[in-house]
Amino acid sequence: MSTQNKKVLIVEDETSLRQAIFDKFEREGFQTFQGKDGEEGLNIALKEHPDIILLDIIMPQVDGLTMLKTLRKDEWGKNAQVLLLTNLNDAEYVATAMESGVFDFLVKSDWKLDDLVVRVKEKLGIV
Amino acid sequence: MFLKYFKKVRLNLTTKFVVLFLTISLVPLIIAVYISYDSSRKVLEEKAAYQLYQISDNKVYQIDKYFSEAKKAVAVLARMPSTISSMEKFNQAFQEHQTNSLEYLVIDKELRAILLYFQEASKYDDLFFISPEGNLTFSTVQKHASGINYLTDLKANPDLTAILKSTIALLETKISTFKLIKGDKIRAYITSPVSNEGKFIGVIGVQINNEGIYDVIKDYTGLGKTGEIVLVARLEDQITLVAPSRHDPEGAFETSVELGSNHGIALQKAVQREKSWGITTDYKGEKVLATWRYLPNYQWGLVVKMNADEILKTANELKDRLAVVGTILLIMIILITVLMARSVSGPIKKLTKVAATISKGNLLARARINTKDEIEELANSFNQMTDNLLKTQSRLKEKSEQLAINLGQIEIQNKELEQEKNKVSQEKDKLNAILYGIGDGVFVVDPDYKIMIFNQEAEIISGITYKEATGKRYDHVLNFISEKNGKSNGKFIREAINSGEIRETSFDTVLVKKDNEKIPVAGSAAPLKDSDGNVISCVVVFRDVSKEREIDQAKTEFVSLASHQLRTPLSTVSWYAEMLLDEDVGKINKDQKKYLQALYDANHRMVELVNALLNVSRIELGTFAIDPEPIKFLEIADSVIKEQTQQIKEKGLKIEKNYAIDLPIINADPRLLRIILQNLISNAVKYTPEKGSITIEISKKDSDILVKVKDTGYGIPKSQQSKIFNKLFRADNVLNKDCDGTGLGLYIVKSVVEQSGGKIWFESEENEGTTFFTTIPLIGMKKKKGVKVLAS
Repeated sequence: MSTQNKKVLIVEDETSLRQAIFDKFEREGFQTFQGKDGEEGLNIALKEHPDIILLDIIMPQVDGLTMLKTLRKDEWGKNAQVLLLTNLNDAEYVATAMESGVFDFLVKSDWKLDDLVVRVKEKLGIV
Repeated sequence: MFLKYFKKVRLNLTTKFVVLFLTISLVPLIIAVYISYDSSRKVLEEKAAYQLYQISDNKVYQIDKYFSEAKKAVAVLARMPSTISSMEKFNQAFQEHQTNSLEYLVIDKELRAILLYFQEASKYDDLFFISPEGNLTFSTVQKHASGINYLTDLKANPDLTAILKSTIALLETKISTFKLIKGDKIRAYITSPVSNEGKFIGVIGVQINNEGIYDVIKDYTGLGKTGEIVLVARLEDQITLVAPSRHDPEGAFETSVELGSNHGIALQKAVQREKSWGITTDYKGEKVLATWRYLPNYQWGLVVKMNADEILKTANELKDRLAVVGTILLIMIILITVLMARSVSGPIKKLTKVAATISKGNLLARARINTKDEIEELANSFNQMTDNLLKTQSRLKEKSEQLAINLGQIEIQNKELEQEKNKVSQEKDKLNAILYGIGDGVFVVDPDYKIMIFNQEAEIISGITYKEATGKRYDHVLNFISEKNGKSNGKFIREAINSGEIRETSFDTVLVKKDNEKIPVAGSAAPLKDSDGNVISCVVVFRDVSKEREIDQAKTEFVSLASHQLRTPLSTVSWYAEMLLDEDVGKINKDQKKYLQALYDANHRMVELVNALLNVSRIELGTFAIDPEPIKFLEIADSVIKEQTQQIKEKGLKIEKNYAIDLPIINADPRLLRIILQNLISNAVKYTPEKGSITIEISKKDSDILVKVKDTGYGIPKSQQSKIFNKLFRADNVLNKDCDGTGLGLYIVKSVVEQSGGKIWFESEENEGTTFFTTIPLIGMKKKKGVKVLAS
């Protein structure tokens, strides 16, 4: 299987981080989308139906958790795959997010980008 | 009662002894005399009563015998032929010619002489014949038989009629009752049937009196000098003597006693049919012992009595004798007691005299007593005491002279002392001025924890005045508590006093002010010792650290925020460097790769530093969680060692693992355990020179799992060992060894270990190596709620 027809959505308010992840996944051949906050991310998600959403928690305006809750109310969104990106390794937020069906989370900077790609590929069944 | 009185009343010894001894000896004596007299009296009385009874029985027997013989005599008379023939003749004459006829007189003249002879011989009062029809046909008393029919004329002589009927019907000899006739004597009748050749022809009767038994009554054998026998009969309310008595020989039918009077009680009881004995008053008014009984056959009362005095003569003699003996005894007791008392009181009087002499001032007087007893001992002690008094007096005299000299010296010393006191007072004022001027709260407690000094700043901080604080236990006045759990935190003062070492407040200490406001404080307690090393007081210095706390809090929050902000750009740098190194965007040459790698490594160290700073801020804000779960200890240890493989290989270190095989699965927060092991092992790797060795030992010890990380590294200089767990501290000897480190690792490890219930310590020798020990309790890490986890 190829990454060509797989859609990845990155929702992250920090432009530099978002751009780095975006660049990495583009290079890996994914069809990559990006949103700068929860509201933009939700709109793209509901329009594009990405295979996986990489979601930051703390964001201005609509944060990650609010976006996740709204997404879960959508017919498609309730089964969407979400991987949590967090800078805070915040136990409380992570726990709440896990209850909303996040399959994993990672603390940015603890992981290499390669590791994130591997994790996503595993999840999408791309060897 | 008596003893009380005896104690109160003022008597001399002799009188007291006499009264006491008399009381002791006389009471039993009197009781004994009385008992022996009383019992002998009773015995005598009973014995006499028994004797009187016997006499009385004997008299009754004799009386009965006398009258039964009288009856027999009449029966014999009835069978005599002259009687039979006389009766035949009188019967015939009476029937045919009446008693005043010539024929009757002829027969009477013929027979009267013989019948009179019979009467007089037997001392009968009358002898008479009665025909079977009841007619009196002959009588020795009446010249002419009256012709009375005793069977039909019932009133003529009822007593006679009664026995006559019985004699005629049964043909037996009968005796009538004995009747006392007023103004006369006693009379009774005996009647006996007379038969001629089997044919009943009439009754022969005699009238008798009781003179025949006078001899019986007069027999006083066994009755001593005063005893007598009294026989009485009752006629209405008069009880009359019917026989002469010993003391009243003319008294028969003369002397009488009224029933119910207080004389002749025994006689009254006897005629009232009682049988008994007792001491009573007799008919003459004398006190007697008497037995009394009733004789129903004759309707008499029989009293046998003796004067009480005669009976009790022996007892009375005994009484007199006892009185004589008692008097002699009494005199002897008094004499002996007086002598005894004198033997005691004599020497005492002597001693008293000597004491009086001594009390007047003559200390040379001595008591000379030679009684060989306690009094002599007392006199000796007294003399000894006087000797001692003499000695003491002379010693006192010396002392008082010495004292006068000393007093002069003391006066001089007092003046010097006064000067010294003034100096000390000035010093004290100075000290107080300093103490009160100090900007920190200062108070001093004695070893009993009581506040002695309390300065102005202490008043301001605590809101408690000097007056309220001094003299009281510090823990009753100043409430130092833990900010976290509200428990008392004031023990540092107690510990300082007990250990003799300086103690500081724990970091979470707050002081509850008088108005209940809580303010954070920091302070220390320093014990003061005397020259022997005993703690004599403890100086406590404390200050309000509210401002410092606020600054520290702000700093921690700043670090947290800054670290967070730092991480974003660090991540960006890290990830782009990674992409370049991975040649995602095209090939790079060797130098490019080298520089990029350096960039990446430096960035990574920055990430680590930021993580550590974040952890520190979380520890200090208290926001990190401990979340224990069952873990495999050794697996985590191995994975931590594996992470370090590259560095270990580069330095050529030898790693020795020494794991216990029986290690149980315990509850621990894997993230925190990892932080602990990572820090300890990476430190060992970092601070051990090339070719060195590291030993990691994990074992069960008591109720803990003990982790021992031993290296052959640079070691920690002795002078800096106490600071090794301080935040941002790094030992001098490693600073110039090109080892990178944040100075936060051990601070974090210590905080984590201690908050999860374990301990951490180390042994180190510079240039020899260091061994770190840490324990995790077997019961697991303590759970702690928190919103943040620590980054590894």
